[in-house]
Amino acid sequence: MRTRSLTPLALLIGATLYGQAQASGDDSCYPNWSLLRDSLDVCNNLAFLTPGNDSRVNLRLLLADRKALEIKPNAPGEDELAEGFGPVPFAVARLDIAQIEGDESEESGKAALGELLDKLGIKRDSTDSAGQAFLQGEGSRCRSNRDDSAAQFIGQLQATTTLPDAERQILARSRVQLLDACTWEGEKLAALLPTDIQSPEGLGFLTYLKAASDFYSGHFADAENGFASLADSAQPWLKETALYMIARTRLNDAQQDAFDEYGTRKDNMDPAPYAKVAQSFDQYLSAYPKGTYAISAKGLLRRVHWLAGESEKLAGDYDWQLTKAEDQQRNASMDALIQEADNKLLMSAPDKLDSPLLTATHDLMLMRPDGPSKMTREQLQGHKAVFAGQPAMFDYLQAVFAFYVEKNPAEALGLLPKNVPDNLDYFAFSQQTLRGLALEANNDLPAAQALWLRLLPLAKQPLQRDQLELALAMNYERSGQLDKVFAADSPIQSAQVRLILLGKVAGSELLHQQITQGISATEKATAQFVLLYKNLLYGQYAAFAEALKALPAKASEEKLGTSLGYVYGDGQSLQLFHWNGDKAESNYACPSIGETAAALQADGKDPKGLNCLGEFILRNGLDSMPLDQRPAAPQLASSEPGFKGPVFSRLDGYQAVIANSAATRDDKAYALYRAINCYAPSGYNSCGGKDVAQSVRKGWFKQLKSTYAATSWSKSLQYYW
Amino acid sequence: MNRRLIALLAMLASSSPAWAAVDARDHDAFWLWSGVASQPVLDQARTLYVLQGQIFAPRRDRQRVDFIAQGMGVRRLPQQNLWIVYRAHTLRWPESVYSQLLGQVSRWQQAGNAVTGIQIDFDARTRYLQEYVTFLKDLRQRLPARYKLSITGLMDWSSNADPQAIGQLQGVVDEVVVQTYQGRHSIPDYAAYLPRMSRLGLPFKVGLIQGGDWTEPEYLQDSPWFRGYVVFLQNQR
Repeated sequence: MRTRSLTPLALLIGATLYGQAQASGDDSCYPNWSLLRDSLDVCNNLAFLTPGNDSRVNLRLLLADRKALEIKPNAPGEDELAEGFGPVPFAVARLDIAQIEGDESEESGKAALGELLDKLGIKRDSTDSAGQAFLQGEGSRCRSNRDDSAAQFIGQLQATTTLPDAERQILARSRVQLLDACTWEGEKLAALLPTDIQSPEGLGFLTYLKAASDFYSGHFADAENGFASLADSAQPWLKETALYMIARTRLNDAQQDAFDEYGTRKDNMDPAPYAKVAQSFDQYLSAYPKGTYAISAKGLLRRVHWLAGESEKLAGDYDWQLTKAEDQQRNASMDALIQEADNKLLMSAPDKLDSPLLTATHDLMLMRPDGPSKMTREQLQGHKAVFAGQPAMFDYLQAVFAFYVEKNPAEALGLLPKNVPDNLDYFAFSQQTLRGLALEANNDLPAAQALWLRLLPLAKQPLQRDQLELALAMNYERSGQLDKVFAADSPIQSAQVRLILLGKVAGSELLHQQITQGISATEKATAQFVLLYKNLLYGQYAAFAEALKALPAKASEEKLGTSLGYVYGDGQSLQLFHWNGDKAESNYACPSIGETAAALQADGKDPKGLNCLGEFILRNGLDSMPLDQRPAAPQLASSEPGFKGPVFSRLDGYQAVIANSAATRDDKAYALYRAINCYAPSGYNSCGGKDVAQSVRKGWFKQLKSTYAATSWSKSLQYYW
Repeated sequence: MNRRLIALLAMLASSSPAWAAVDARDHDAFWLWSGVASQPVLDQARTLYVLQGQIFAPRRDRQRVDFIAQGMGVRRLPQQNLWIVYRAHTLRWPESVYSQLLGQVSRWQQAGNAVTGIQIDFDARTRYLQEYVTFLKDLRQRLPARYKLSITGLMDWSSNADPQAIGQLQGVVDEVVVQTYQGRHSIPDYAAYLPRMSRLGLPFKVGLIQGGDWTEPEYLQDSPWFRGYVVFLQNQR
């Protein structure tokens, strides 16, 4: 992904980063009901390989086909439902299943150390360690200075039976004291080291302790010398650990100048020092391919390659980790590795990587229109060799390029297979989805519809079916076959998709039908609500009266929220239409909404009727009601709506009363008062309709203050806006 | 700003052309978020808000609370005023979070920085505001007195929030930094909300987004509670 706040995360030392950083205060996501999106939107991902997906999602889809991981989407959470989401499109976090694993080594390390110290009769003054002070993922070489590593050292003291008891005691005590060390001064640390060790075994451990304290306190040259002097140690643990520590020491030494003042990795660093570091990790790994620190060493090699700017090697590392390594060979979870590959490689990758997996993911990013550099056809052709073993993938990328970059659906169709396989993995599903979209872009809606229907029974992988329902619903909608979405045998069961279509485009007939045939109580109530609301607001007063008659006196009190397009728990119930004009908060009395509609049916310009329809909207918070808003193409429900004409707006209503010479004094004064208030307190119109100039509002204010000066509304109004 | 309007804006934002008005060079206080690379304008910074961690309950295990590091490693920074920022997705913090957080703040202090205080970035959608107030009162008690407490705020507090809850923030938080943007874009109606911010009775700063759209309303400089701007830095494309 490429977004404002996640580019190479150069900031942590030796750590992987979980999750995405979003701009402060920006937790919200809202669904975008479309399958046609070419720019990144982390909130709206689809179940096929597309430039509009977050790169982490595309990577997961590719990995799922290789059986390297499973797509196991979380069900939409409470907040996501309140934001209007269904299963597809989905925010990137929905696929993020595992979290940072709890660090159990902290607890087990503490227990192991406690046990060892008990045996030696040593009491700890404090159970704090330098390593445990850090946050999860916070980078520091001192992270490894903690109970479990102290326990390993002391365990070796125990196991070395030739070590004199007294020395074992002294060395163990010293290691425990060292647990606090991270930034201590060298002399202070040196003072903690024992001076009275004589045995050759004891001297080996002492050398290790001294080197370790030099390492933790940042004296890398001394540390390296110390560890190097253990190369021929007869104690196998010391020999192996020292070899590994040489590499870690060199890495910490090499990276001292790698970051700028604010922790950003410097560009154009000399890679030469890192060659030496890599060499020492390789040395360890060839001596101990399955050694205690082999996984760590392999993981740290990624860091070396990243710091040295060796993207090709880094790509090789991720490719191996993601597709070839066994679980127990990884130093981080798959989720963490996907995140890391995105941060450290994909967002600043060179043109070509020697990995079909990562090149495909990266190419899709490059095909976004708002990327830093736009991909060219020649550039894509240059990647052909990478896909020598996966020609279908290269064809797909070319089809994506033709469709999204060149806007040439006909060419895309030529590059996509016509045969639908029985087994739809995510790649085959992507091929067919793109084919359907290209057919639609070529105005061959019937062929696309046939394809969506054919794919439906084959969609077995998670999220595929949900996406197909959306695709088919949009096809029906744009083919003028909205009724098919709601037919008894319709495959479209997605509540959100159906409700959006009912709220935004359904006409009177379909709404009538769904009042009785809706697939849920919510759908029935929504259809009834929409029918009443639209008849009223589109001036269909006779039809409104009919619909109102059908509304039982004890209408459902279920609050319809997202089904009407509201978010975060806002909403309305059918009880709204039993509004009887109560609470004349501004001392302007209105009858029930039924009577108001009847008055307007008799005379569309009836001043009292217009003002009272305004009261209905004002008192019930219906200004900028979501049902009034039309989605933009190419979103779901952006086709011609079933209800035509302008929707009633309070501002238009008040203006009609103001202009009506037959209106009574009170009606006119109240219309002026309300119209002026449409602009309170910000100067922005909150009543809908066409904006009027401030000079007009000034005129209203003068008129209210002069002609209608005696009214309570004139008296209560001090300003206009 | 109500959520519906934000939803609408979020929809519009994807199709609207890039705004360009907030020039970071005109400012001296910045948010530095994780993943945002350093840029020359930081040389003129006097105040820096540095993201350091995120506290959240994992989806699969809502009982657990994770505290993960974000942003740069602890280092000596040249700015006179340094705020350490934590992004909270949950307010149910176990003791370990408090001790790690305070431990990290003191590591920043020990590294030679003038730590002004900590900032909590929590999307306290107005319905969580009372819980948030309770949380902040407790946090203020735990925080050494030398550190100030800052929070980020949403503009809709000024119109939708329970005024009593807001009132309780006086004396608990030292400032609110109000965001005038949503995602990468400025909220077009900011001018309508800021006057109400002034009436909350809390010192506030206005958060801008680098490259975002901003025209300072005339009344702003006259507000006795206005304390200046903080610019959220973005990577330059």
